[in-house]
This record gives sequence, structure tokens and C-alpha cells, in this order.
Amino acid sequence: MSIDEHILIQDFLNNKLTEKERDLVLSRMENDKDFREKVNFEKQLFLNLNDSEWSISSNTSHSEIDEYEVLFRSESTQTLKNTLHIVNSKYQLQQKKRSQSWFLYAGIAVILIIIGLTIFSPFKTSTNELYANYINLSELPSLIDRGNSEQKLLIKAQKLFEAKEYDQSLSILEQQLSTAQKNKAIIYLYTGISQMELGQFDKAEISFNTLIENKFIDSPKGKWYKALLFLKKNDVSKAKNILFQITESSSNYKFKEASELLSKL
Amino acid sequence: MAEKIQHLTSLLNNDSKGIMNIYNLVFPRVRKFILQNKGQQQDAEDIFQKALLQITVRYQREKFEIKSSFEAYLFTTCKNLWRRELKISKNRVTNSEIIELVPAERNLALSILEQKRWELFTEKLSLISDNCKKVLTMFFNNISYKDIVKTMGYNSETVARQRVFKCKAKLSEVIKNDKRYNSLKKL
Repeated sequence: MSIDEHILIQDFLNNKLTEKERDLVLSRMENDKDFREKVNFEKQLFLNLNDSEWSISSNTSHSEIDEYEVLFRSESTQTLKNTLHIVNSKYQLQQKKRSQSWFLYAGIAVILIIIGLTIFSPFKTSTNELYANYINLSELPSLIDRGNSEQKLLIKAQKLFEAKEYDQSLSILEQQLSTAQKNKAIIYLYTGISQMELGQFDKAEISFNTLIENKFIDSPKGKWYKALLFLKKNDVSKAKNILFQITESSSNYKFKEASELLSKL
Repeated sequence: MAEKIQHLTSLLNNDSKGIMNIYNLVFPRVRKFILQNKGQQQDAEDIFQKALLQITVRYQREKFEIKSSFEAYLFTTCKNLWRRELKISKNRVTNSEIIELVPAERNLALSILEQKRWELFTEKLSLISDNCKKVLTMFFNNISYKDIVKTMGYNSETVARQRVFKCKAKLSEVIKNDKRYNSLKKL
């Protein structure tokens, strides 16, 4: 076959010829046996080797067909046909049950995950809840020196603070800040916490900053309460920033709690 | 090899347990293929049963050799039977060829011969050079000469046409030289 003939046959098979050219090919196929065979072979190549085609046989009188047909009609094949039918039904039923139980297990798993997330997930805990969980006022150092009964106002402030009367305790504390010589760090701490509890966040931040910057022995406590302040304000990124600073050294005040809290944010 | 014989024996002996094993091994893949190619669950079930019948009857007559694994062969048979179904329904719709309504058994008999012809063509395609195989696979799957030039790095479409022509001549020669061809060409 010449390359021109190859192109002609391809164009014929792909319906790319004009009507006139097509008629010429058809008439040549009718009269020229070799050419007809070439066209048919090319067609077979295409139908068999194109992934989305198939070559259906047109000659149903092929000798082998009868032999296969007899075998398909045989008793043994008919019995196999029935068995295949039964096995198929059984298999499909099993699959249906399996997928139903899969759905059931998947459903149970989803419910368990939801319950788990509700109970354990940090994402479900609001920053306010975290604040409430981590602020532990009972561990604050006392405002009053032992045996110093003259600090009447501070005793009063301490009592009011413990009774959560922050408004009243704050007015005494603010007054004490300007006069007190001792325990100033603790007074700043109580002041800041009272302001924080009263929602005076900006003032609380100033109090904690003053505490941190003044390098008192209790100054490091300021960072922890400042972190809690941001948590209460729902300013997670600022809270995290301070918590990261605390976790820089294991000797820092509230190192363990800060690490724990970070993992929950 | 032992597994291949075991599966064929299950079919020849009508062994439900063995056949169930074949279902577990191959049916999910066949189902997936048919569902992804315009078919339904029922089509997958029908095709799978037809393929098993086809393999059994063919094996009864000629103890043919399965060159791949049994699973791969069964999957290919299903795939081809599904291509056949799609082609028949396409022909019915376009009415380009008159499809005679033939009894199911005769239709299955025809499908065996078609499968044998397909095996001859694909087997021979795998025997020619890798380069020719690549070019012809693209050509038979209607990839344009322009894209063949790009993929194969040819200088022009003329070169691509000549290459396709030469490779096709080689493939035709090896197909026609196989003794199976004489019988199958009458199909």
C-alpha cells in the first residue's frame, strides 16, 4: 500500500472525504477485492486498537461460532449460568449488608467524634472559659504583712477583693498605690486584677505593665496575669505572645500552665 | 499459575465457594469501571456473569493460555464486553449498522471470536518496537498529527504521517503472518 492510499483510506474511515470522493472509494471497494480487503483491515485495526471502540463481527456464519453456541447451550453451561446467578445475588446482598453496617459504624464513629470534641476539644472552650479555668485568685500573695495590724485599709481591700467586691477594693487599692512603701508589687497585682474583673481592660493593662517594668520580686507574675487579661479580652494572638515569652524558660512563673494553655489555644 | 487453575476449575466445576472468591477479588473493580463508563450496577452484574461464562466456555473448547493473572484477564474481558455493549447500543441509536437480533448464546459465541481477534491485534501491537507502539496507540486513539509531532518530537506532520504509515505496515505484517489471522479475518 502506498502512503497516498493509506491517507485515502484513513480519510474514508474518518468521514473526511467529499461525497464524490467517497462514492469513488465505495465503487472501488465493490470492484477491487484487494482494495476492499485493505479498507476492511484498516477498519479492523482502528476498531480493535481504539480504546473506546469495539469490532462487532458481521459474519455470523463463521464455523467456530456454531461450536461455541453449542457449548453455551449445553447443560453444564446452563447449570453454571444458574450458579453464577445465585452467587451474584448472594454477593450483592452481602455487599449491601456490609455497606449498611459500614454506614452504621461510620454513623457511630461520627457521633463519638462529636461527643469527644464537645468534651475534650480546646476549640469548643471559649477564651473566657479558659480565663476562668486558669485564674486562681486563692494563690495570690496576701496584701497584708503578718502581724502588721496597722494596715487597716489594706485588710479591708483584701476582704473586699476576696468577696469579689472589686469596685470597692479598687478605690482603696488605687489610693494605696500612691502612699504605700511596701508590697507595692502585690498592690499593683490586686489593682490590675480588680480592673480586669471590672472590665477596665486598658487600665488593667497599664497596671500590669507597671508591675512588669518595675522589676519587683513579684514582677514576673505580671506577665501571667497580663496574658490572662488578653485571654479575657479575647485577644488570642497577644495572649499567645506573652505565653510564648513565659515558656521560654522553665524557671519562669507559671511555665507549666503557660505551655498547657498554649496547647489549648 | 496455581491460582489461575484454581479459579478456572471453580468455574468448570460449578463451585459456588470458588466463584464467590472470584467475585470478591474482581467484581469491585469491574463495577467501578462500568459505573465510571456510562453503566449501572445491573450492567456490571450482567457483564461479570457473561465474562465468566465466556471464559469457561472458551476454556472448555480450547484450554487457552491466560498470559496475565486470572484477575487481570477477567477484568479485561469484562472491559471488552462492556465496550461491545456500548458499541451495540451506539449502533442502535445511530442506526449506522444493522445489528441483527441474535439469541443470547449466539451473541456470546460471537463475543468470544471478537475477543480472540482483539487479543491477536493487541498482542501484535505489543510486539513491535516501543516507538511504533507509542505512535500507533496515539494514531488509533484519534490523537491529531499535530499532537503526535509534539509528543514524539518529530520535525513535521509529514514525518509523523510517514512514521505512522511505516509502523502500521509493520503491525499489519505481523498480524497477517500469524496463523490465527486467516480464520479471524473471515469474521
